[in-house]
Amino acid sequence: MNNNNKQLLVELGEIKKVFFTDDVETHALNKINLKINQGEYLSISGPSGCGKSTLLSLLGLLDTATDGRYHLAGHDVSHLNRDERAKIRNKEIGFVFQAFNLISDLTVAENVELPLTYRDDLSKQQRQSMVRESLEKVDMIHRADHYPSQLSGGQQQRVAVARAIAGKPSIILADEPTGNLDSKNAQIVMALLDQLHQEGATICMVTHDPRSAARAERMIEVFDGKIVADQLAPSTSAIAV
Amino acid sequence: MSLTLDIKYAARLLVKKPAFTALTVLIVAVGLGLTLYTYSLLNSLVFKPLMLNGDEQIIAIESKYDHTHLQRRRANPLDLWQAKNESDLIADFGLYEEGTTFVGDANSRLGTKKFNSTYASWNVFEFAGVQPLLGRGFRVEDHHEGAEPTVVLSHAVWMSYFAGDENVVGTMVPLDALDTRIIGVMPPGFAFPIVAEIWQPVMQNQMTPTDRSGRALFAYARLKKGATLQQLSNELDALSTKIIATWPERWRPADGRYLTAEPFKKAAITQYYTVFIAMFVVVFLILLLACINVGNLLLARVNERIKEIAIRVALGVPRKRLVLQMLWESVFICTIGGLLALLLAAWGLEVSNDVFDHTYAVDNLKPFWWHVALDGQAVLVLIAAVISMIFITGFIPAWRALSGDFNAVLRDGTRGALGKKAAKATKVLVISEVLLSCVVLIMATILLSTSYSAGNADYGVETQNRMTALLQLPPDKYPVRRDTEFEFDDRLNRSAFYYKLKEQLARSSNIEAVSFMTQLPGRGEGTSYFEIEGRGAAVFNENPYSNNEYVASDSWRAIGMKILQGRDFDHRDIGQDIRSVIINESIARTSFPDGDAVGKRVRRANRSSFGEWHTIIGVVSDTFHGSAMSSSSASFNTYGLMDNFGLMRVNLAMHYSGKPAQALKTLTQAIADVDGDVGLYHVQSYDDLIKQPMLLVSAVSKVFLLCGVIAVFLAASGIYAVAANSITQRTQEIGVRRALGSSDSRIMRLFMRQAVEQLVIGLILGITLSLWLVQFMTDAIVINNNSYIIGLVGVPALIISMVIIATYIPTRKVVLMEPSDALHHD
Repeated sequence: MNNNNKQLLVELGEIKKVFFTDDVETHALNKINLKINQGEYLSISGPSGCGKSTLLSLLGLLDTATDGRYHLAGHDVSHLNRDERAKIRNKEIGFVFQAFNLISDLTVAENVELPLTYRDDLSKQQRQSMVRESLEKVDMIHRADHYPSQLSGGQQQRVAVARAIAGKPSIILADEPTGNLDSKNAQIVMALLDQLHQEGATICMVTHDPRSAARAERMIEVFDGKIVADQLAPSTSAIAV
Repeated sequence: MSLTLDIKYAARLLVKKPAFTALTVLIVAVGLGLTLYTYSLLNSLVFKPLMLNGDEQIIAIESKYDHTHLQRRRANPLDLWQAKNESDLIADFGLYEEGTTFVGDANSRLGTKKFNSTYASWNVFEFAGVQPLLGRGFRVEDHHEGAEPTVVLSHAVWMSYFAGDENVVGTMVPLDALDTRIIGVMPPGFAFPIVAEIWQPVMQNQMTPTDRSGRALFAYARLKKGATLQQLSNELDALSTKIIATWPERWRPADGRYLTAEPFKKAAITQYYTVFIAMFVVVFLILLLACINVGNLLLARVNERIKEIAIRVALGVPRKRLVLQMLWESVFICTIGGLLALLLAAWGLEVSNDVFDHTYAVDNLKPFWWHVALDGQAVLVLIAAVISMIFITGFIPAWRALSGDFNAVLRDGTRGALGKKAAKATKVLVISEVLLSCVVLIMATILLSTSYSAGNADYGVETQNRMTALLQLPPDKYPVRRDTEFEFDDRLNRSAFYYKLKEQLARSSNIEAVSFMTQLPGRGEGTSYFEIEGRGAAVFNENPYSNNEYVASDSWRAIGMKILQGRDFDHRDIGQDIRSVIINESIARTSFPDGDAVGKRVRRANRSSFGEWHTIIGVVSDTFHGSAMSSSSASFNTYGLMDNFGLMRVNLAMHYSGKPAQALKTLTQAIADVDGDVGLYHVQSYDDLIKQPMLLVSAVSKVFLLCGVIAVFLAASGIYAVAANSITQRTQEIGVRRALGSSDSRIMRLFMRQAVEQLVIGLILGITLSLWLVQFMTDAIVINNNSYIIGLVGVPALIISMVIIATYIPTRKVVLMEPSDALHHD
């Protein structure tokens, strides 16, 4: 189900992912077709091992499909080499991981700046300004010089969100963003994603939490490597966290 | 019960990974084996006090070791007696000097044979606490002027030369042609003070002279109970100051030092003491390297099992039990490694004994205590080393096991990078590996390279198709009638033999030329300072220093030397009052840069006397008298004409064509034709002669080579293991960086840069420490510049390559993983 009024950002066609371990073939994804428009907020849910994280990895170009087509912002990204994929991840995709995955040796500001340092088109001043802006957006500017180990889980995830949005990506991919958080911090992070969406960000979130999933405007359900449901969510305002 | 479980569990883990277990056991065995070997070697050779049958260790009192010219020096007996008489610290005391004596004559069953003889005080056997097996030792009266000459035989000489004749005591035997009575035979293995094969008494006038004009001697002594070597050293320093003050100003040593006291074993190997210490340092560093490697391997294993450990912690395992569990693996590995080390060390020591025997086979100059074997003390050291190693290698993984964030591990919530402490620890491990391997390899390389260069140095002589030998005139046919009207004629008569032999050899078609010298280039005889007329230094030891030889005329051609200026010796130089000298090119170039050496006069200038002025008549090409690596005096040489001295023994070098066996036959026949009673000894090729002084250094170099090879193996495997382990632990971080868009090359650069940072720190520290340690070795050997270049450029280049490869391979491996796999890597 698509929202045809908006520009198409992601298009997966007949995507398959098979893992080979010793003599065993595991079909993680089987002929997935999916379209995501700009500005959409969708959730992917399903039971453990259903393939939702694999799907997110493929969307994020963290892994390559065994078969199928992938167009991102109108470009075919199915057959890019490693460095071309890295460039697209850097510019077009922002990641938020369940385990935050901040680098412990870098300060908050340095963590947020990290993906920007991989670009050649940004000066130091521009990078610092983008870091400040994104940290302000997640209300973590006051902890810019702290190390991740000095922050709570919720704060670390807010920094991770700041890192994901710092480069103004086309899409934010969040993998169980509240999975390691208590309910209070989970609420803060989800509110942050809501706010980003309202400001126009495209968000694709993997979650097994139905309440989180319901905050998205579109809910996709994966089961045994296939999309079994793709529907608009009920009004987010009706969901109490 | 829990203990049994833990032991079983540790054993099961080791059996489950046999390659890992074999590698760690091998590293422990090599590290401990080398340590045990070196400890036993150095303990036997240097550190274990020489006691013989006394309660206190034996010490040596002599002149201060000459570090400038790498020589052990005797002291004046008058001064040694003064030291004994004025001190309350010395219990027993005696004097000795070493030399060689020819036993037997043409009528003896085995002909004449050369043995190492020691001229010693009458108390030498009582001092050692060893009584003769047959007959008696010396008595005071054996020293007296006019007393019957006496000799005591070693067991080996008795068995080999006298066929174990039980009636040998009381019989007469010619010693250097002087009929001497055999008064005793010593038990097997006894060769005190160092290498004695026969003992003769020092003459009374030499042992207790009335002035300082006599020959210098060495002293052996034992301290009184409770007295220390330091106390005696202090006394000797004070006494030296007093004695030196009585010398003419020009004889006073610049450093003001004279008499010293050292443990006897140390004094015997003073030149190589620092090399041995360097060897011990190197081996200790290798042991450290082995500890770090094993610790790191166990650490890598803990990292693999970190989830399992986290589960144990979650289940409530007490910390003590967790640490013990980590230690059990170390206990198994280190104990098995220790047992293997025992076998390795025993084998190495056996090989060393063979090497020593081979090294000293020609001249039997192996100190009698140089037989190395494992003893109870060595086993205790091994046990202590094993226990230490268990703690060192067990501590690293135990620390990791205790310091982990187990909650995070269980939540799969690793933060994508190493913890700060773990990252620091890894950095320290890599730097330590680089530092230690750098020191070991630089020292091994410098010593090896110096030894190789010296072995292959240009000694300034042609050695191909050259045979060398020692000739000894029979004293009964060539008498020495000192202080008589015949003295000078006797000298010319002795010299005449050598010239007749030369003429005889010249008639043979396979002999090209013959040279006679007191010592041929490659070996050295007497050294002294020399003073140039009108340019004498204020103090005798600030004058130039040279090796001095006596030669026959026309001795240069046979060994490829050339006359560069002036002329060779001839009839104009023969005469009691004629003093001619030929110097070599190095002296001429250094002291007479204007090329005006010929015609100038020089004289010897030593501590207690000046020689007579000698006129320089010629300049010859440079040679090294002595090892190219062992003495700075080896390159300055002066030559006198031997005719005026009538030497009893002379070295010969013969340039031949055809087969050496044929040349030897020609030589033997020529000697028989001229005078069949003249003895021919030490026949060997010139190449073998040059190698002789290098044999011990060469043997030590081989130990260093072994250390170097082991160090390369340990360093390469250790650096790779540490780097691979740390990079594997950072797999998630690499995944994060790649997820955020970093290119492969950027990540490679990042890790390479971090490796280079560690490399630079390790190399700077390693090179600094190496240079500091190498400066001690320069007390013992002259290190050439090429060795420094090879050591300080080659070794860092090797380590840089190792670190780059060790970082590149594991980083590349992780970078090649898909980011999604890297992010979920355990």
